[in-house]
Amino acid sequence: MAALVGPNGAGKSTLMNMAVGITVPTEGTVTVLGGQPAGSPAALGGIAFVAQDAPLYKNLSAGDMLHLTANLNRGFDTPFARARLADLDIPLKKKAGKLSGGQQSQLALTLALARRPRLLILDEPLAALDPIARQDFLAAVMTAMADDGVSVLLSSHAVAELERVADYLIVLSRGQLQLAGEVEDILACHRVLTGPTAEADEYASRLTVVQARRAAAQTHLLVRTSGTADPVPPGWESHPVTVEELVMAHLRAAAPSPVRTAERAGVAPRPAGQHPGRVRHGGGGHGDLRAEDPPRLRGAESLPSGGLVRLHETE
Amino acid sequence: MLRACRPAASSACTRLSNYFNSTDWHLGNGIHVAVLSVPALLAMFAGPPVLARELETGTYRYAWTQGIGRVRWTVTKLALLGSAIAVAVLVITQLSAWFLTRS
Repeated sequence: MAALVGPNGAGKSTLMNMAVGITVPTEGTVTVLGGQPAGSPAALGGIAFVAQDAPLYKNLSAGDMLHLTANLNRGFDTPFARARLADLDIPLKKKAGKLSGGQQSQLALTLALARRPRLLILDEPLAALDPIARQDFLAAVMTAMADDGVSVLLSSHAVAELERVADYLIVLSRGQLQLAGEVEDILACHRVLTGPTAEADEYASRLTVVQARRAAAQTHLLVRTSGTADPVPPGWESHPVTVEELVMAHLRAAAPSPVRTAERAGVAPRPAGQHPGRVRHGGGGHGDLRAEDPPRLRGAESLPSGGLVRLHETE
Repeated sequence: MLRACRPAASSACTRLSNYFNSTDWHLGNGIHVAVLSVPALLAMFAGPPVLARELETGTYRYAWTQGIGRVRWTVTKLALLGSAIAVAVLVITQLSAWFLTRS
């Protein structure tokens, strides 16, 4: 599973819409499933897309939606879809518009899974769900990944929930790729260093600092390391980083104002005392994680499972 | 008198028929106009929602990403709707023709 995270307006939905051919890129091309042009019949046959807010025909019943989707797709697994809706207690006779938000999401996911896709693209599927429904939804996606080997591209604000499920992480901000890589690799090459503020500037100058949080006595530096355990000077401690910390730090670093990013990402701004001071890293700080410095969604980027979604630059 | 005019193709009969149509047969004229405008009206009311409703409710993101593809989806939908309108118009014209020519 590849997780696409970023604040509102980062370009997550745009990227996903381009991958299914609803939006046409102004520059470059998008290919999916190992070279098919996005939106072509061959590509659409192998991709199931659940758009933001799970669009369904509100005046059709769940059963009618199932029938419709079966007629619009080759190889639709109707018995699976019926069994799944029965498991979820979603009545087939009830109109889609009258179902709860969680049930609508589950219905849309069921319709997508029953198409037996190779790639499942989910745009903000968790946004409308309560915590229990989120867990159920992610569990259903994980089951499909395990059972059918489906690759999943999922966008979300809920960074913490993705930590347990995502293998690959893509951080977008304002149309630019901030960070992309295997979650394990990314976590392995970032550390949080905690030590006295007085020594922070001198120490930071020798490191690639993504974000520095300074308080009166202690400073937390989120740094990129070479992967090997760098020796830490006396008085400093080194901790592993969580996905959420890492994503937030990268988004703050990319934003014009740190506080605004925090608001946009749905996180309360820090209390004034802990206001994050930022240390800009030099050019190439993200080096090997970014393919290059791509201005707005350009540049090559390959996802796991044999590069199922790929963005090319035409130049 | 018009019905009894023989031979029916003669210029006198045509004149008589035109005179009759222009003065006395308002109902016939009204039906004529109605029948001519029905296809246009049906198309005006049935056509735009085909795409507009999808775009308005966001369901185009569902419909156009199904395996069938959006080209076939649109063509099928327009063809079905078009034939339904054609059948409706055919029925209406046949009915009005029957009404106008009944003895």
